[in-house]
Amino acid sequence: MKSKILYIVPLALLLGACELQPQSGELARDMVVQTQYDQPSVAADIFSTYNTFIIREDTIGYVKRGVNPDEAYVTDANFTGIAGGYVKPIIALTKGNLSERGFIQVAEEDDPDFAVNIVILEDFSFFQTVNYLPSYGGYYGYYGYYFPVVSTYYSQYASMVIEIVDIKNATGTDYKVIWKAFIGDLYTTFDLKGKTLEAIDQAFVQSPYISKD
Amino acid sequence: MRILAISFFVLICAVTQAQIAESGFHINWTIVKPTTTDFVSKTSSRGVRVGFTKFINEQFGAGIEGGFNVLDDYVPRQTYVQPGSAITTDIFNYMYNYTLTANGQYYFKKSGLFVPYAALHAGVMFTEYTLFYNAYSESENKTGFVVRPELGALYRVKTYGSLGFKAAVGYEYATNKSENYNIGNFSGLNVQFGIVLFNN
Repeated sequence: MKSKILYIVPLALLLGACELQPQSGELARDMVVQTQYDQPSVAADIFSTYNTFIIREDTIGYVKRGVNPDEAYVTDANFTGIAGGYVKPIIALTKGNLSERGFIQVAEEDDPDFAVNIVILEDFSFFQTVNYLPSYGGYYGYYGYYFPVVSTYYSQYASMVIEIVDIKNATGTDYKVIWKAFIGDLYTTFDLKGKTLEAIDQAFVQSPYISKD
Repeated sequence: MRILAISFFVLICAVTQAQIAESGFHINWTIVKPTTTDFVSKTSSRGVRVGFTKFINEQFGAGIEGGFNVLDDYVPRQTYVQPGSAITTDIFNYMYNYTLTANGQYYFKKSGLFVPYAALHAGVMFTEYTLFYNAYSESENKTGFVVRPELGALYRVKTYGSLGFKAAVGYEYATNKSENYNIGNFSGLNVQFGIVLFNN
């Protein structure tokens, strides 16, 4: 009897000391939404000077180590398991939020005031390691994606980044990123489409300065 | 002189026989209720303490103890706004405390199988503050001084038996704090239940 107690009690104690981290299901309940903006531009109320924007219609960028830049995009053909697609609903919701804020989508030849880029970053760490330059030489335009400057280590996260790039006030090939939204993690969520759309709406909710008015 | 020497020997023997045991090893399950709630406020039963006590005489003992407990709390989803940025997330705050203390003990009874005691522990506490949000986490480590007054009781199942039990309540105060997360010094009430293995 005594020997049983000696085995059972420490075991119970060890079990009691377990669960040292939150459960993955609880963690993945909602995505993290972080937005950043260029303070001088927002202080100058730059969004009130914009009227039009440009956005890709059916693809979003896909950046991953080892992926050929020419293949750095995904379409709904890459998400056949999601009813109603994934890429087009994301683009539609982003456009919808911008329309509600008073901006009009135009074509490339109509000289848009700003561009909207949507990129999935995979295998890159989230906040600290994806360091976009404040302005980067050469906005590759409507039909090209670019790579962010990644400074540190491998990680297993997949994040969506939505950017607003100032075209109206570009100097030469220097295009400034006015606003960025980081949404993640895309890997661990149990509802990729629903939670991504929810997060995109939240990105705009917490950015009230994005408004024509 | 001979009478004096014999008297001293008898006295030493009497003292030795009256004390609880020569020494004891204990392992305790620990429940902690934080009394400062900057970072965590939930009562946690995820803790364990392991220690060794040398019973000096029938009224005093001294020992060392190592302990671990984890405290946590949940902060519902909300938006944190800073100049130039905002972030919306829910957060799981976790506080991992590791202690290493020395202690002195005073026994209220000089004999018997049931011995109430008071103890004072002092030593170092290593704390890891961790925030989990979605797949991400960030941490900060701090080391500080910890002190813990404690009231408890030892129960030896039978005279000269090796098995015993221990129960105690204590108040713990540590100087550990985090400026980054705006967390003040830690304090908490704790309750412990455990087994003791007596030696002699």
